[in-house]
Amino acid sequence: MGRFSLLIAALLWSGVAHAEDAVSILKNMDAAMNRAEDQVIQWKVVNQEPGKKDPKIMEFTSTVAGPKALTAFSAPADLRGTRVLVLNRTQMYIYLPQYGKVRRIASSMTKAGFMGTTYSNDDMSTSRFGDVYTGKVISEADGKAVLEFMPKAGVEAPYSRAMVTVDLKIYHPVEIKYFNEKDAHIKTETRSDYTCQDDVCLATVMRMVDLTRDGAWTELQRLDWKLNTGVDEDTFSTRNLQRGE
Amino acid sequence: MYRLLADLVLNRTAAAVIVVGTLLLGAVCLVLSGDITQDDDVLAFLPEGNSDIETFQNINDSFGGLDVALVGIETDDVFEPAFLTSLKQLSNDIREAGGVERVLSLTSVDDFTEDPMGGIITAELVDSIPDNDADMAALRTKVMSRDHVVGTMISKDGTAVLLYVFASANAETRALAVRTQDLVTAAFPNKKIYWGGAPFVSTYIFDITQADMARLTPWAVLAIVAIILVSFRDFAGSMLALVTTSMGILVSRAAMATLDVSFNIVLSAMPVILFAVGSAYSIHMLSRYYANAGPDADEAARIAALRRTMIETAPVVVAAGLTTVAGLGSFVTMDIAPMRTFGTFTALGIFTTLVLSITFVPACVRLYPLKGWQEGEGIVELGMVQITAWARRSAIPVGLVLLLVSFGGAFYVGQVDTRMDQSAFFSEDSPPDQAQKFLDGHFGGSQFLQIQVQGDVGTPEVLREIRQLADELSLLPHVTSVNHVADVVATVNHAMDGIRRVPDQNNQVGLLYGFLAGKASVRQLVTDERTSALLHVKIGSNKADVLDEVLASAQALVAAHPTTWVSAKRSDERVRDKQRGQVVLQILATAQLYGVPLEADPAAVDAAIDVEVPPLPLEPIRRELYKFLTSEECFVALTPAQAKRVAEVSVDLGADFDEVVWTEALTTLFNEPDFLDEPTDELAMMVDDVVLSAGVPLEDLYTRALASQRGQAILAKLDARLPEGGKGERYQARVAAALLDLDAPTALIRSTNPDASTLSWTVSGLPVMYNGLSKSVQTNQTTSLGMALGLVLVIMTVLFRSPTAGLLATAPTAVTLLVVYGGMGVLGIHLDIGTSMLGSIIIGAGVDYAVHLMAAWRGADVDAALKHAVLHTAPAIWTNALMVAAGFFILTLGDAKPLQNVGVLTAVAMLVAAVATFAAIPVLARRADYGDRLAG
Repeated sequence: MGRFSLLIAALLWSGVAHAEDAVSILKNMDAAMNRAEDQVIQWKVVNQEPGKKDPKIMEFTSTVAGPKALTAFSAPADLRGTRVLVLNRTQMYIYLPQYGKVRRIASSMTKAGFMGTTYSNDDMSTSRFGDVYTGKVISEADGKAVLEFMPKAGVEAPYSRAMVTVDLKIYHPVEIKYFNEKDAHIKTETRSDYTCQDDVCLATVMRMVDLTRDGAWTELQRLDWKLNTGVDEDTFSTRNLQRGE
Repeated sequence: MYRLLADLVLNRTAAAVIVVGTLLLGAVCLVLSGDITQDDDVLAFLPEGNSDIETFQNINDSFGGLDVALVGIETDDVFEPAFLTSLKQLSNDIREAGGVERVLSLTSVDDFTEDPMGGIITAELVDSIPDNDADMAALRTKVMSRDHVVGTMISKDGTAVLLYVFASANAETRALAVRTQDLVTAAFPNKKIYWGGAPFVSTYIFDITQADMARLTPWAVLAIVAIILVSFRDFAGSMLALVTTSMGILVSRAAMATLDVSFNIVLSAMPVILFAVGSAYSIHMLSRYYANAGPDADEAARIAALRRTMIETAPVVVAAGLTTVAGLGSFVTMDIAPMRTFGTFTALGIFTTLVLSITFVPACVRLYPLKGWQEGEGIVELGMVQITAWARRSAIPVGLVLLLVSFGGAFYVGQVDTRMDQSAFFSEDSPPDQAQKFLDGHFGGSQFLQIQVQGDVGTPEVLREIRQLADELSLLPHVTSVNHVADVVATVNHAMDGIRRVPDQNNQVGLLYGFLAGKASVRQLVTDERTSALLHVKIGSNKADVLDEVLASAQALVAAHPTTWVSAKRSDERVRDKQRGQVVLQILATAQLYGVPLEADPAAVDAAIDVEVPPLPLEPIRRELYKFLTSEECFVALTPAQAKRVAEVSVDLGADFDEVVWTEALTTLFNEPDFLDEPTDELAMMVDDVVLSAGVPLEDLYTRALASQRGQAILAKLDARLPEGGKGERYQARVAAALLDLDAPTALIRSTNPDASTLSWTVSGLPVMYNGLSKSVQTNQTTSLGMALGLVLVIMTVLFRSPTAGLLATAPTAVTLLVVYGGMGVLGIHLDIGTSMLGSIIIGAGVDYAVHLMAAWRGADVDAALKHAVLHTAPAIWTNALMVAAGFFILTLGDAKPLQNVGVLTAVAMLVAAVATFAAIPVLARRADYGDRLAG
């Protein structure tokens, strides 16, 4: 009985110890991912639909500051000049150069693919996991920790569970497996080839595989990255969206 | 050859080797046949190399999901929270179960709504499940106002929903249907569910046929065995016949397993065919042996009788067997793989049975000589002698009757419906029939035609051409809806530009396509490269007549559209004429969609377009502009009072406002002392911002208002009785949107210029594929029948050493074929994969009777020969005919209509073949020595 109690105590202690570690890791992760004042990133998007011979290519430049982002498409030709302003998870504005007007798009379909990619609007806009999930350390080895993310009570999370592998050197995720409400593994995102400027790191390649769409995948290849450019707050305004200044 | 065989088999040691070897072979085959795999793929029955089917499959590969499983669910109230919750979950579950391109249902369809704060809200139509009566009522109002959803995904009375399960390209449709059924019944255990669409219907036909075969085959075999026992009255002999037949089945199955050939649904008929047809060979051998041996023969006499049987009867049995092998073997000419498999391996089974009947059966008799019997002249023999003698005496009237029957049959053969008619495969009130009635009643049918358009479908001109075709199609009788990419582009344009029409500029279309990228619903309408689009035409009936009518009309409409074109400007009269025609069509087609009783022909609508339009009231424009100026989409921060004044000043300038004048007017307004709360040095920039932000929206407001005003005037002129409420308003809005196309800068016109762009139009879909299948079945029928008849004629000619005798032996079969196929024409039984098997089986099995009758045809003159032949063969022929008829008749007692058709026709055919044999040969025979001339 005494040995059994000791075992339970040890297990409880170990759980407490991991919970603390998880909180710390999650906190460090959110800090690492949001350390920059602003970033201007140029991405090439390669989108491969199952059964299609050639992938579709897009290019855009995102100016990001905190939760706000202004994305300007430069390719393909159809989308060139189109700009998307995201103010929060459910509110965005789009400037349609072909129509010469701005439209406000309030979307509750945050799980829907972003411009036909395997990345949902949520995937694109989630930069602070700690706001949405609680973490539990599942394992730690070789400088990497595997955390299980569960939605916080009272928070509407895009996924019911996620298994996140975090590189503890830079506190950035290198792999995220997403699960739906039936606990089926539906997506896997990998973020690789991190490079750092000062203490801010960013993956060079991000790839999302959608397992519910016969393995459709999207890869974001970083073409250019500027850090702390001193972006003006007015950048994230509808005026700027339409004027394109 | 047969003497050598007799010498071999009569050797006791050789006989023992043959018996033991055969039994060992049987044991090996029994083990091997356990490894046989089952192929349930319905698509395997599609013929190879058929252009219609290849086109269908290519389109399916490009767009995916042409095979649509339809699930209808009836409930008291669709808007009950519990029902909606289960429906939402079910839609996800089916999608994630695999093999599914997408699931379209009330809870998965996208929706665009105006945002009160300006702009649009994109969400699922049922974005949240209502949890109180007020929310339920609000959701009901919202859903029932979506014209593209009512009658498509929810019934008009709100008591039924329809899920569209689009199969992935190359998905195994039977597995998909079974999975979907499991999920739906688990989600809605107490609801009335209907299963429609090709995957469910074909699975139903497949499953019920297989279930009937599994249930009825033992009874059919039992009936055959009972007839053998009753007519044979010899248990050992009957068992020998059954063992040889069983060996035929085992060898065939073992060969399939060894060659890795899968068992298919048609092959499930093999046991009945083998027991019915194959057992005849052993029976003929044994019955001749019994007659030759007599009741009191000692062992030596019995062996002598066996030798005589082998020399005299074996050639006849071999010839008869070979005709059946030839009949079934003719299936190898078919372009449907499972039919070839059926023909090949059933022929192998028959051949095995045949070989065993002249080796294994005599070997057994050699080892255990069976007691013979006295060949008697019973009631059957004597009765048949009387009848056939009368037939011969009355050769002219009997011949005339045969001729009349043959001509009648030939006439009605032409009436046989060779079209693939899905409804002919299931009975009244069967599940597919109920589903069809449900779908026709609530959702406009379940059959789809597809039209592929290849060309630059990324241009407004081609999109309008597509919409023109869609409008033409939707005005056809029986067409209940047409889904196409131009409508989707127009819908997204509505979200972006506030009006539901194809935009005028290439770059606008391109942008809208960009937003649609990756959406499953769009993938089924247009390829990523925008080089090919697909129109989905829903037809409100599954009857072949209706499908053919719609198909023919669609092909005629498609043929009238240009295949080479250029984009021309509005200054060209042809462009204006075309645009006008397209607008007229849109007004008429949309009226049908909205249930507006527009009793006007195209000419009347065309004339109404020129109606005088009353002046435009400006107050609504002011209100709308004010709404914009206070929305988040306007980036100039104005107070409500400022916005009101800006709206007034702007609209006062009229519809043809000039930007410079507008800027001056706004500058004056902004400079008014009380307009701004405090002076600003950025006044010019503010005015500039207002002009930039509100300029395009104001132009759009005028454009839409003018079109709306004109639309109302046109509808008034046409005395259109608009439905009350939102539906009438929505129709008016659609008419207004259509009228804007009159001012589109360009249109597509036909051109023979070498630089002209090309468009190709291809009508496809399941109805076209059914046509392909029908053509294939017809071709297969002709080819296999021709081959079978040819082979049989050759075998008969060789057997009786005379082409005339060969023709005589074939004549009863020809009469039988004409009667059976003529009967199909009279009874309206379709020629399909199942019934197309009949011909070769009839030829193979039916000609046996003539062979046996003619083989026994010996006597001093024709009459004596006839009597001799009838006395010797009538019981065996009738026994066999009854056996086959009984075996196949039992198959008609199931629920599967294809099996019922094949069963009853084969049963009748065998009886007709026996009658025709005893009628035609006595009438036509001119010699007394057909039996003496026998080869071998």
